[in-house]
Amino acid sequence: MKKKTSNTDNEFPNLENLKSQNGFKTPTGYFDSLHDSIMNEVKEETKVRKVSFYKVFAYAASILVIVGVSSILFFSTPDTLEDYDFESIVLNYEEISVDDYVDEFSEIDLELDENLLFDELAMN
Amino acid sequence: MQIEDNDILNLFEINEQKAFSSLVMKYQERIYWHVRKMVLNHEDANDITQNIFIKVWKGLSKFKKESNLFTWIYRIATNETLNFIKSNKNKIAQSIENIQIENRKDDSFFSGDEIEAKLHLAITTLPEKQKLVFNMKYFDDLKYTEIVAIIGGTVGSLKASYHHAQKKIEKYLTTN
Repeated sequence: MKKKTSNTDNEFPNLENLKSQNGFKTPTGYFDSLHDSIMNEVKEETKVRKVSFYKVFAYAASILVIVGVSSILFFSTPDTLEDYDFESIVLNYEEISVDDYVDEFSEIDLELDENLLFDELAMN
Repeated sequence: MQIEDNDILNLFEINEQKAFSSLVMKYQERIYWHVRKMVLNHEDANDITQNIFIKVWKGLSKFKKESNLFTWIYRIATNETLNFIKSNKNKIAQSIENIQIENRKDDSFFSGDEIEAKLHLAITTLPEKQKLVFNMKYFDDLKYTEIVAIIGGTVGSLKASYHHAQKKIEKYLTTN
């Protein structure tokens, strides 16, 4: 598209002659690949956002369960652990098995990476 | 025919990725060249341009429809470019050297003739903001009101800045 001339154009003849010229070059097919690269990054970014949400939800649920069970144990004063009806406790997080509570509570090894939870929260 | 900005924003409410794809198709070349003329090097311009569009993607859901999408994207592009230039002065200096004829190799990213090389070298002598004004007015033919929306200032100050830039460059072209 030819650019409009103005009264100042005669003041800058070299600039006027060079208009619309660039001189820089790009690799062949660059803009097609640029579009694809950007869209791939966007898809990755969307995936990470979704996975992070579910992870955070899962870890939050597991913490709630642990806090809930701990509170029950802490505030009740049973004679023995066998007095507990563990099977009636509703567990949301699938890795926690009811059988784990049959033995001493301290033997339960729940893998919970709290640091990961806070890292995920920080990323979002 | 190019899609209108309002249509992109309306489509975004229905299908985010499809709308964003249209946005990228519409603006990628303009944004790339806006960046390239400032940083000179293709690889750097490529990286910065991709970062710009990722930022646009992340901010698009919060973008207010009553604002101008075009100037918003350009503003992000300008800020990203200026941040890069601030942190990579040595790289920019190297890219300037690469334009100079005596340093040109066969696979140079610059294929222009001597006068075009001089023009870009002349532009590199301008302060950053004046460089931006010059590029947006001279190459992109943006209105002064649009340039104000992108980098601030007033129409009057930008007109003056552009005029000074033209004088400096014209002098450089005739004396070098």
